[in-house]
Amino acid sequence: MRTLFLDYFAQSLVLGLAVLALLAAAPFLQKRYSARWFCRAWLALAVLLALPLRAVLPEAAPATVTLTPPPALLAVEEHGEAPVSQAAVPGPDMDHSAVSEVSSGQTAAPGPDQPAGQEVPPFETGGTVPGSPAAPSQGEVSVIESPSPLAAFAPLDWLALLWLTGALGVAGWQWFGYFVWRRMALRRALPADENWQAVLREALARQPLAKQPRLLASPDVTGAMAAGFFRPVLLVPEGAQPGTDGAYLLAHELTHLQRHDLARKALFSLVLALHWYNPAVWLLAKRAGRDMETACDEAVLTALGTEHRAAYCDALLHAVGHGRAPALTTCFSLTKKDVKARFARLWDTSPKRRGAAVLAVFCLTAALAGALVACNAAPRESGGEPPVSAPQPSAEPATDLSTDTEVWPSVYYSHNGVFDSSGALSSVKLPVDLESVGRNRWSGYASPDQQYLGLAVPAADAEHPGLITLWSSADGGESWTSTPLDCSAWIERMAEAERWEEHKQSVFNKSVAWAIPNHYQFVSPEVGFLVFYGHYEYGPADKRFADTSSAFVLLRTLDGGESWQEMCFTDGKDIGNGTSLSFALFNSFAFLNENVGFLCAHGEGYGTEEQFNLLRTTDGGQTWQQLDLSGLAATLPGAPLGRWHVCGALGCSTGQPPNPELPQPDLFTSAEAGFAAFVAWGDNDSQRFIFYTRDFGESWQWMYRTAYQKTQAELAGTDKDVWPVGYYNSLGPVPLPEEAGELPPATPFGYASPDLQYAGLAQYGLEGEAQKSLILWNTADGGEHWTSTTLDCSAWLEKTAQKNDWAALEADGVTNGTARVMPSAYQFVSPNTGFLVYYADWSYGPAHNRHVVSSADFVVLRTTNGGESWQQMYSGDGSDFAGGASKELALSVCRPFLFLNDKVGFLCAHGDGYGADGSSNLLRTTDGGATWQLLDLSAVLSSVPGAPWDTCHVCSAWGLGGPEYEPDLFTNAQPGFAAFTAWESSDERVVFYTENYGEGWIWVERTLANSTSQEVND
Amino acid sequence: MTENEIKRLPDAELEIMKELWAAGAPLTRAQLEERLARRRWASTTLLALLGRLEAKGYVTREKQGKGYLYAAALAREDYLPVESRSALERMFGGSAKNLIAAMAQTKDLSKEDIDELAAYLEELKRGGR
Repeated sequence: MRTLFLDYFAQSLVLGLAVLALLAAAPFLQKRYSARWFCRAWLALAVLLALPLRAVLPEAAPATVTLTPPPALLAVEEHGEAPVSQAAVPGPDMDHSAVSEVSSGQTAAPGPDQPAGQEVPPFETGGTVPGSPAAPSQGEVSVIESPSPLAAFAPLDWLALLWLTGALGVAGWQWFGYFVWRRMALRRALPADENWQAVLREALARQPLAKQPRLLASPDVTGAMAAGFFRPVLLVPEGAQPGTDGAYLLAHELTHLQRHDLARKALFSLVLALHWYNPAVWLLAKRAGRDMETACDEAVLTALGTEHRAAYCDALLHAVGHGRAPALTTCFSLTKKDVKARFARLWDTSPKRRGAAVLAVFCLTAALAGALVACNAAPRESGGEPPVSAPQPSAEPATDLSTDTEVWPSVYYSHNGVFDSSGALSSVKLPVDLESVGRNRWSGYASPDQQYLGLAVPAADAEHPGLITLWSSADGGESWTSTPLDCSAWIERMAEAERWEEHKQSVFNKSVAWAIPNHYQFVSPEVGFLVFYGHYEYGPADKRFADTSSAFVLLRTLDGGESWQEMCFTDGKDIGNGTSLSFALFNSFAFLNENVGFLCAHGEGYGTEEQFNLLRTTDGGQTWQQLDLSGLAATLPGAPLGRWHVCGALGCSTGQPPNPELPQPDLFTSAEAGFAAFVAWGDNDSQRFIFYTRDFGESWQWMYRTAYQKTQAELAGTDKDVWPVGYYNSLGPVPLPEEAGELPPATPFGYASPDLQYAGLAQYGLEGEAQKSLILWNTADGGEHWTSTTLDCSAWLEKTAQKNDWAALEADGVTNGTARVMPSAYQFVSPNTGFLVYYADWSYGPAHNRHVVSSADFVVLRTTNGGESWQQMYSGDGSDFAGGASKELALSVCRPFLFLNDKVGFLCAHGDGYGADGSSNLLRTTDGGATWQLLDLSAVLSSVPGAPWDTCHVCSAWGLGGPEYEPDLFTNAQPGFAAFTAWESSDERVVFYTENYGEGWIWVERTLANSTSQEVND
Repeated sequence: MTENEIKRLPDAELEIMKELWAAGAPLTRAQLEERLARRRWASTTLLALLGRLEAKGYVTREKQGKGYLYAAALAREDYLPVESRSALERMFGGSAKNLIAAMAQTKDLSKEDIDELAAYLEELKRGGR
């Protein structure tokens, strides 16, 4: 009770001030606004005074909606000035700050969620000291020690009791009195005579009422009056005849009934009871009673026509003359001055403004002030003091973003292709032909069970600017209903801001101002959002021009689309990073419930600055904050990324065919409230991810967009600096190192980067001990400076010679056989990552007739630090290759290796059994050379010229430096590219190439680009 | 029947009396039923109530054709003092004015005040046209 008292007391003070302020301003406002305006203002104040604001105030910020006095809004909507007032309701920054103060104030309060009256510590007897942390214990002590229960009854309790007694007294006096009077008056009254009944019938014909009142003649009234809330009764004085005044008297009383003035009076009576000690409230009631009469007068004259003004005033004057109420009449009775004022206002013909916006602002301000104080009243034990400083903002961010509303865990977003001919809902009957609307001009959604569907389609024409048609179905598309939504007010404001009018002057044909739906989504049958922007078309029919607004409007409904409230109307400069947004893309928005939503902001400056372009709102779209996803970004493959781009929201349809490639297909079907998913792009198109959250955006995880993306990302390796192509087995135009001395006549086993800065070769020894090692030459400056490293392979060489028992090849008594290590590939794929492959051979026999055998054994080494150290990736003879021919390889015959990065490499395998029976001889490693798998090229081989080939001999890798061919495959090559020549026994020859690390292959026939080129060197 | 003998009537019986008073002439049962249609009484209810009123001597009945004509035997003027304000009503009668709507409720307006208002209105009428 004490808490309630304090709440009401605080409200009483603040709203009382509002009353006094409005009363003080009344003489001025009266000139601008009608009595009806005042009635609404008083009514709004009365509602605020009657509601225990702290109790009805939800804890979360969107309290704005609850707080907005319903009658005020109602009045506004009635008169179709929605946009203005809507702008005023959630709009001004001042209100936002006030709202946040309210919520933080609640956080600071000891127990907004606990039952009122329990949490506040009892006062010490006689103490009026504001509460301190110590107060509770002291209070308890006093309770225990007090000999009488009354001693624990602090002065505040007495005050509260007094208040309650007074409230009951005032209410009882008025209501009990009313019922006593009513019973008496009705019992003594008779049905009025036929003359009066005839006047009533006439009046009712003019002013039809839902509930027809009874007309009684009473000996207890001196003038006409209306009474009764549920069964209205009109009372006229017994014995009086209607005469000329009768029609006006009854019109006046019927208007009272029509305007529900009795219900309003009941509300004022309640307010009087609650705030009986506040003179301002009595003034409010008195003034409201008078304004109600004047408003009633206005309404009567509006209905009857102004030509009745004089006669009406005469009737009023006569009524005043007769209408002397009994002496006990307490309230609402007129003095001479009042009557004069009423006459004056009846004859005041100056135009009055509707003033909906002013009214809304006034009501909201009063509501917020009242709420703010009410929220602070209880914890501040001084009670009545308005807060002098804003409460400390809460340090803890709100972590529970879920709401009471039951929402769909995910939805179908229209632009995930759901309504397309191959989409999940392609069988649904749509009310409009979306293709004729144009793909980028509509938006829609469907619930996960596919029962609730909605479409927002622009429906503007020259006469109806900004019209949108909202289609909805609750039965899976069996039946559709359409609701027109007039967005012209916003479009007009866009037009004004962007000066579309200037174009109009040069218009030959009629211009059309469209409101284009960008996002339309319900999160439950009740709660939905609509985003639209403006699009202005003008110009002659054959050459239309168009302007698109930089601003967009976000509306929200909480009642299934009955009414929409503006949550955000911005050109983007006050949200996110402050640049204007582009809405050419779809599914930029995603909403999870009435409060939480996301926006993938597309516009200048977004997706750079090492910050993803994902914004979030937790207040239904009024404010947006850019999310810090740097933690997530750091875990992405290839991080740090150069591009930080979140593209659009993914919904239910993404988890279903036709996209079975999701690595985690149940991501969407197992979604629960709080789930949202977005597609994000990395540095290149193959780096596509899904970012998803299960807790309203508090924490995020990622996965690859598709299994293919995942594979590609894995195959892309970890080194970001790889050259997409290079010079393989060739230094290209890079000069050979002079220090190397005489080099063997064959092409050096080397490489060069496409920019010719990096190059290298592996030199083998020509005789003696030098044959047991390789010299690796490298340059990083195009050949000006070379460094060399000698790789001693003598141990491996000896072992290999023994294994192959090469000594047995010697003729008896001859021991001049020598083993040699030979490079098969020396290739760097980037400044840091390189591969070296070598094998061994053995030359023997007499000096004039030397024979050479090569080992099938070979070694793959890899460096990832520019050649400082080498790691052995493979050592064997290739018989263990997966899918291989289980045969030993012949590595001496050509230069068969090609590496794309630290993981992926290819080997054109030569040896018995390779390339036969329609299979190929191309092997791939995806682990840096440790294991090798034969690739299945049958798909591409089935379509080559002369297919099927009996044998397929993939020969050497293609790189830069050879003759120029058409088509050119190298200029635009990206990492993942590799090309090989393939032969068939009958001399058919094509080039196979891959652009995705060997996942897929394409063949092409190439011809020499000019006849003077060198001969093909394969 | 003196004033002291007249008893305060229950609501339903009073309703019937009020219709008879308002009509100012005897009514048939069908006429009464029509005027009291809003009460939705069954015919037997109305007959029972009329029987009670007749027993109390407030209503008389006279055969006419097939049915009867009912007339008020008690004058309204005689009955009204019984209904007149109790102390309770005197106490609360005024406060009821908060909860009713009337075109004009004034207090303490003298004849001079009314004249002044009439003059003011005349002025407005002249100026306003």
